[in-house]
Amino acid sequence: MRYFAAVLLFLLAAYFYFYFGFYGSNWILLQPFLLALLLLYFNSNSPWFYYSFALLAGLFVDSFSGIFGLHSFTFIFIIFILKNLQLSIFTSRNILTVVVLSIFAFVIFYFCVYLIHFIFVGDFYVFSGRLFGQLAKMAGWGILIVAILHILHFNFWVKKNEEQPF
Amino acid sequence: MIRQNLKIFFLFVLIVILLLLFKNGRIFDIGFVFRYWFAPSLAVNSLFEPASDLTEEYKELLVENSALRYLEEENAELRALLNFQNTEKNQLVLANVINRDPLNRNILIIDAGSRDGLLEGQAAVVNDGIIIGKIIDLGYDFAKIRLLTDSFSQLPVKIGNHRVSGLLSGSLGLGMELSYIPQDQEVKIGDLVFSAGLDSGVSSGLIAGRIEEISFSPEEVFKSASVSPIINYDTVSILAIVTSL
Repeated sequence: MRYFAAVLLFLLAAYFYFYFGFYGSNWILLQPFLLALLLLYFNSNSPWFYYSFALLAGLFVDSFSGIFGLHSFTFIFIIFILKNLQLSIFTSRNILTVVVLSIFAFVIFYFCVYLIHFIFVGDFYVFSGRLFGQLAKMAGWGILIVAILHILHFNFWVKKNEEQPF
Repeated sequence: MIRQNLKIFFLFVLIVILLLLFKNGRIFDIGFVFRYWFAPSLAVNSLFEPASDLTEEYKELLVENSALRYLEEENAELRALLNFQNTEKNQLVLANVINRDPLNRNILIIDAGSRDGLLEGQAAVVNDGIIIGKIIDLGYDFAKIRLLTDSFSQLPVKIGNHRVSGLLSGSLGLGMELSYIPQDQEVKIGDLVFSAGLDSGVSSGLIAGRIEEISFSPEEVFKSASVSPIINYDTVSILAIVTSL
């Protein structure tokens, strides 16, 4: 079941990635693959499973972007940091933890993208107030989506079928 | 647990590094596998299938019609580029836009690179010679195009038939600003702006945009103008790189 859900999430993320990328202008900042990765991470307890998903999702995005390896490394690094935070500081299971870790994920994502782009291309992005606003808005939407889907999954699936992963 | 997490993290980072080395050493490119199976045009076309309450035959016809329209548009774009190549005696390399930069919509990523003979600074054109940007970064099988509307874009241009010169630069990714137009030179709203050919890699006479608004004050040495692109850059899916002038 979880493999089916992972494939479905991957395909949905790919759909929205192309759809937003080509037609939705600023909606690409929603980062569909990051949302899919977070959802899978919060709802799975097998590190091999979500690390593999992070690798595949990253490689997929890298195939259509300028710096090969950027997203792969970023996604794996995000999972690594979130897992460490969960094992050390944010050990509780509530929705606030999910929201806080999602915020961390978005911050790490943009930080890595900026840093790796700067190191390997030697160019830097211009973070205008407008772009910051859009990033914050889309990150907010992303976190909201992750939180809602996580709650839905917990209430309608985990409670009835299995134990919550963390 | 933290130690185990660290081990798995390093293992996956190692896999990424290996794949990166394989790709750069041209041994195996996993990106090609994804690009082959998830070609954007195929994925995008499949998004626009009609609603499911229509009859099966009607659905098939609509899909076919949609595909033919897409082909017609693609054909018109390619024909215009071919015409440009023949009339101007330019050598062109055709390329598909495969993505945009995640943080800067004014940078396009195309599926042609150094293996196709591209060089940094070469002009990207569409239709009958409308310049939309220049190559700023190259890989073996991809290149990055900075659109003229990007804040860092600069292009020496001439205006209309008057041989007036100026410098065209991007304006916050939305439009373009034309500066350093001598005060004594006459320019009008609606004048076309052409590349001046002063940049290496960009031939002269490529259409860059149209003047929308002119601003000047008697105290200043130069006039400035707002320039709008001839085409909507958001809809560009096929372009050509001018490889020889």
